Amino acid sequence: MNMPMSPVSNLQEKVEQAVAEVGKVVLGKDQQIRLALCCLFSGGHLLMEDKPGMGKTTLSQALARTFGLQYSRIQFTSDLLPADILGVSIYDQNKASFTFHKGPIFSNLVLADEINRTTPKTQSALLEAMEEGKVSVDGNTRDLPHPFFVIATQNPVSFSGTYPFPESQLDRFLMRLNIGYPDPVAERQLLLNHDQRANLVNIKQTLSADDVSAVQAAISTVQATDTLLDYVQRLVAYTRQDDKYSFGLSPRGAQALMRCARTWALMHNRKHVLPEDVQTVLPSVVDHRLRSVADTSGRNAEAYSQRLLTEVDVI
Amino acid sequence: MSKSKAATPVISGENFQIPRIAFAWLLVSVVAVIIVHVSRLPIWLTAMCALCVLGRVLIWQGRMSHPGNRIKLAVVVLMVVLIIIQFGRNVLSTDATVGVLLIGITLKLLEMHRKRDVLLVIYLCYFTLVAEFIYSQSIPIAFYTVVTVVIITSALISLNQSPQAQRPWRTAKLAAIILAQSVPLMAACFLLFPRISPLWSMPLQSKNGVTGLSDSMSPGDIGELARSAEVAFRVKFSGEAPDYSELYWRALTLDDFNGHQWRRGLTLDMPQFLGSNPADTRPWFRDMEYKGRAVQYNVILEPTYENWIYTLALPQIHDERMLMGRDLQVNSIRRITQRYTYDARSTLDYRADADDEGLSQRRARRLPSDSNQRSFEFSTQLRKTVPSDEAYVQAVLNHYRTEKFYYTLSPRKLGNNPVDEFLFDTREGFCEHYASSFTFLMRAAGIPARVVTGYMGGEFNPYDSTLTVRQYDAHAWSEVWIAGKGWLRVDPTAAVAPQRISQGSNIALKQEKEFMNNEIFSLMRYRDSRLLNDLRLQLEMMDYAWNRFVLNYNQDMQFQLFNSLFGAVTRLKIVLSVLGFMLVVTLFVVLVIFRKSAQSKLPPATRYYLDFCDYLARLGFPRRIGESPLQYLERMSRQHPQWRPEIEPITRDFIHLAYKTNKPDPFLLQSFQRRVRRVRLLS
Amino acid sequence: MQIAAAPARTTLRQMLLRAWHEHFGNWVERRIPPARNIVLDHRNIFIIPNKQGLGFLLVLGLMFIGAVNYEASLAFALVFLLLGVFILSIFYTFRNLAGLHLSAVPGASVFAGEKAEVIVILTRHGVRRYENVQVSFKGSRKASCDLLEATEQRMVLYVPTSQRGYFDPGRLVVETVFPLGICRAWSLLDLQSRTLVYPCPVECDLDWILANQQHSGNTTIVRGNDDFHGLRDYRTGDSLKHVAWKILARGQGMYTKEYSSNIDEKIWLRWDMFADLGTEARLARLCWCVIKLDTAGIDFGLELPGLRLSPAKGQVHYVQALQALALFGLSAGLPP
Repeated sequence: MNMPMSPVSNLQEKVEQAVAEVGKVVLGKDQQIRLALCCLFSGGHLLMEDKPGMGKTTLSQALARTFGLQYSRIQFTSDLLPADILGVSIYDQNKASFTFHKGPIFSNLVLADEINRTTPKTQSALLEAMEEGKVSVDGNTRDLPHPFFVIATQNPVSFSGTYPFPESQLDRFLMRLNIGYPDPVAERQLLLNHDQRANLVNIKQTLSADDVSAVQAAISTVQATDTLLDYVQRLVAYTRQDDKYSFGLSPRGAQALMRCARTWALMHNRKHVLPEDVQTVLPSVVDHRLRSVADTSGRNAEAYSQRLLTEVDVI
Repeated sequence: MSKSKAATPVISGENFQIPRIAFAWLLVSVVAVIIVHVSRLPIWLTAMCALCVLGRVLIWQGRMSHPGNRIKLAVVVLMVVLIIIQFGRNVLSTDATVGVLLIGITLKLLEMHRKRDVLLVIYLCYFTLVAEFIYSQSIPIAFYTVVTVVIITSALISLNQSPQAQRPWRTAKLAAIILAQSVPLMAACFLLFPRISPLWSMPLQSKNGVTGLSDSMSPGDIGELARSAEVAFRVKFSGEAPDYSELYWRALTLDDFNGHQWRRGLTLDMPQFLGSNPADTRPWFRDMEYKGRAVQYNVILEPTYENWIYTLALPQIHDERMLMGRDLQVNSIRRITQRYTYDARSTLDYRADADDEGLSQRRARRLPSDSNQRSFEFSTQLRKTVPSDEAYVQAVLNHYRTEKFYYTLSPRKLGNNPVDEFLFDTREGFCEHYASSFTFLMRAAGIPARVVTGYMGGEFNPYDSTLTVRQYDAHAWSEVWIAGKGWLRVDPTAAVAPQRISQGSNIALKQEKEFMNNEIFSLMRYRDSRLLNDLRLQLEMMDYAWNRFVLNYNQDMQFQLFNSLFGAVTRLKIVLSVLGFMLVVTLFVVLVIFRKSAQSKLPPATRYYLDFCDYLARLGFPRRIGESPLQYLERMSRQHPQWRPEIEPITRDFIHLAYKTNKPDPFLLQSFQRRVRRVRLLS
Repeated sequence: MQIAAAPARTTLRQMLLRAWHEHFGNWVERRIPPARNIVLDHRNIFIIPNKQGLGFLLVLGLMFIGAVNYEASLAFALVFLLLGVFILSIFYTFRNLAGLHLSAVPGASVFAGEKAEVIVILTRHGVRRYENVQVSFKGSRKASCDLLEATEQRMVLYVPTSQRGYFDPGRLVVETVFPLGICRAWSLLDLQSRTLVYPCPVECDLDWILANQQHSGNTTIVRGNDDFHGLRDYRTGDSLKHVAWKILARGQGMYTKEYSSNIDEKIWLRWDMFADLGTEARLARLCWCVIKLDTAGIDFGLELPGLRLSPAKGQVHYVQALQALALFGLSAGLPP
């Protein structure tokens, strides 16, 4: 390969630096951090779901800082209105005209905290902005900055006072991550030290928006051979065939899986996808897109992606 | 993964309806099966078949209802009556059987209600194909049959397709593929499967429409044959062929003359069996003298529906199927209804029946005294002018040569004294006129003489140096008996038309209008065009090879093949080889089934890797479902660290081959395959 | 003598037949273990020439005799060619099943005596095409399908049911005679599709049941939208429509208004309502009542020994009630 040294060629080192930085505030969650980075590199939006107090917000803030992106944070509440996110036109008496005051969504990175606490109306305003990459207010369409990411957090659906997302809207998020409880070592660290969140300000920027664009440009060059695509197709076919799933993985879901697997390969300085790449990103990409017949709330989705991994052969 | 919505599953019901494509193919099959027989069938039978097919189409279109039981019964009775009237006592002949078979097929076509009925029609079509081969096994017929088999098989396949199938050509393609794939098996069976002699003799076929020599000769008979260019027989000489003017293929010896017609009289001498029992040799046979060079040749005879065999001069044949009379006529024991092959050896210079004058010589002097008086007188006069019998022969030949005799295919008609009229009035005639009159003149002078009919000459094909003898080569000549020298061949035609003897009738008769009159469409008519003639000769060469090696493949040739393959032929060896062959075929099928189904269409690298996984599984460490090669490697390395050096390179190679690129490096692939094959792990 | 012997022979034959079926069944059970998704291959496909195939061989035999008697070389060749076709057809027929993926999805639940719906899914992977593959259960009709351009086909089969509980349609017969119809390849698969079968409803006197309800007297408050019931503390996430704005405006804090539907007329379907009947008969009548009450849109509760469903209405409740009736007294869902 006589290509000029692209930022992609040593992506792994950069990623590891970023993981180390974020790891200062979120202890023992390196894999989740990598997956989150993978999601952002793939140009997708990230949904973090877990019980309160698991460090979702801390992680998303840390991610924002390590990218050095301009970010805004929206705390979603039940009385939040679409205009609070998108912005409003206010009559300016000096100019005798309406001026548009941009809402917090006009940032490179939007941290949407507890999005299932707000009404479906406000949720869909956010989702529409995520999908379209632009915002329509008062008949005018305004482009959102590039890159544009949303990291949303939400409590599990069963908690009271929530407005669960419709299934069809969940797959606007490329990945869904569960943080999970810290392992004993990390837990001990947490108990020993004072609040890790104080370190948030110390996080150095190790990645940039340019890295993101470079990765996105490189994704299509990552080789996925027939042998690998056969595997992915078997996985997808399995979700569509098996009667334990109330519906199979959509073509968009399959595309998302491949995109993340490619990014994951890039993040390990590889130009070709291995089955491991697919397997690693699979639970995060697939879980929130599948529903089981028995379980209407989507609580036990993890078990289903696990089943895919153990019941569909790689070769 | 496309989920189809268009194709709706069909629930099969009790009411069988023949699929559209199957119906189409079935009709084509029936028509194809009938068409080859049309020229031999009575017209009413063809018409009836056509009506039935048409009726079936109308029923299909809904313009006609299925015939009722009464109509069916009436039609069947009518058919039986018609067939009995048509064939009479020959009701068991092949012609009649084929007719009944075809009528049966078409009638069954009319009343197909169940799948079983359709199947019966298809099977009958297959069966009828055998009947084609009874009549002709030429290359075109073979081709036609192959096409017909494809069509019938298409009908059979489409009968088992689901009713949604819409593409008849795809069905035909599948049929053709299956048939093509069974060709190797066919070839092997054809060569090796033991041939059995006929279980019972089949009813004889009629001689209808076969041109050839008849057992008698009257003026005009042989000239009639010159209209036809049909092949009589083909000859292949081993070694040098004799001169063209020696190619007198004798068939019949005619020694009984009634004033108009020559025929073979009753002979009192027992014929000599040409089989393998030398103890039972007749004295006249023992006394024959073979002198000079012998020619060796093989003859493939087209069916004549007669008994006689064509040989050169004095034949020495060793063949259990033949008899030879004292008059040198060789007959087959059975009538020749199939193509017939024999090897023969002939001595061109010989002495037969030379010494004592017996019954046959006496009979060869006999003439009816009440006709042809002028010829009697002429011969008496002429005999007085010459000293010896031999000089008399020369004098008569001279007479033909010097007087104004014409060699022609279309002589004027002769009356009650044909010899007289020919010799003194018309003086135009074909070989039989000359042979007949010459023999008469000999007998009138008291010299034993007889007429021999057969063929003279033939056409050498430069491509395979075979000699093809056709009907227009038919000829008649004389034999005279001279004491001490025996029977000598004298050809009076040679005196009149020497070209006929040196170059064949082909050249001699070229200008005649009647010549090859029957062959309007044949390539034979265009022999003057060099290109077309070459083409024709090459086609004939193919035809000869076809006849010799395919159609004529029989027990003997099979034995020879066996001999060259496995040494001496024994029953045990035959049985073993057939069994072995069947085993090979079965194994092949089983192997294909197992190999193909297990790992179909996998890329080679994956296949080798899976072989490797199988190997590990046999050692007790199967790869788990969903376990990737790297994970497998790690697990195995934990369980058996000593294996890592073996497993790791295989895993790396496989990842490189399967996941890095879609077109793996063939060298790497090869080394990978070797590595997998050689891997040995010790626990 | 003969009269005495005849029945004995029949029973012996029946016994042998039954023994054979049992033996074969066991063998198949071991050979092709049940699975939700089965790929057909040489391990689970059986293949044998069928009646038409024997007919074909018979015709070949006749043709062979013809060839022998007429000593026609080409007739021999033809016979051998068709013999090759016969042998190849074994392979082709096998190939028309091998590699096919099969799975089954149980259809909607039915009442006993109705036909249960089983959806069989046939999928092909790779380039091989399949034609005229037939699937059937014992008692269902044969459904045939092609997998040519499509990679998946769903076939709906209807199997008669007789008992409540989980219904096992038996082994699925997958068979084909394509292409030549002279060999039959088949397989017997247990795709583990279990349909829930509700009891067969038997009509009973509903008016009598309604009249004999024991009124419990107490009314239960069920959250609903009918009447204003009271106030409670506001919880985040409560609908803003239900916030008691007037109270908030008075500065007395944020409360949420609660509404309720009051149900004082509740119908209970009880096990002991049909005291003089057997278990199945009771279930059948209860089933009928459930259907009637659901169509009428009346709330009802169900009380079975060891099971109690509070009164409610709606699709979920209806299904729960029927499920309870279907599975009542059955261990592991298998019929008694």
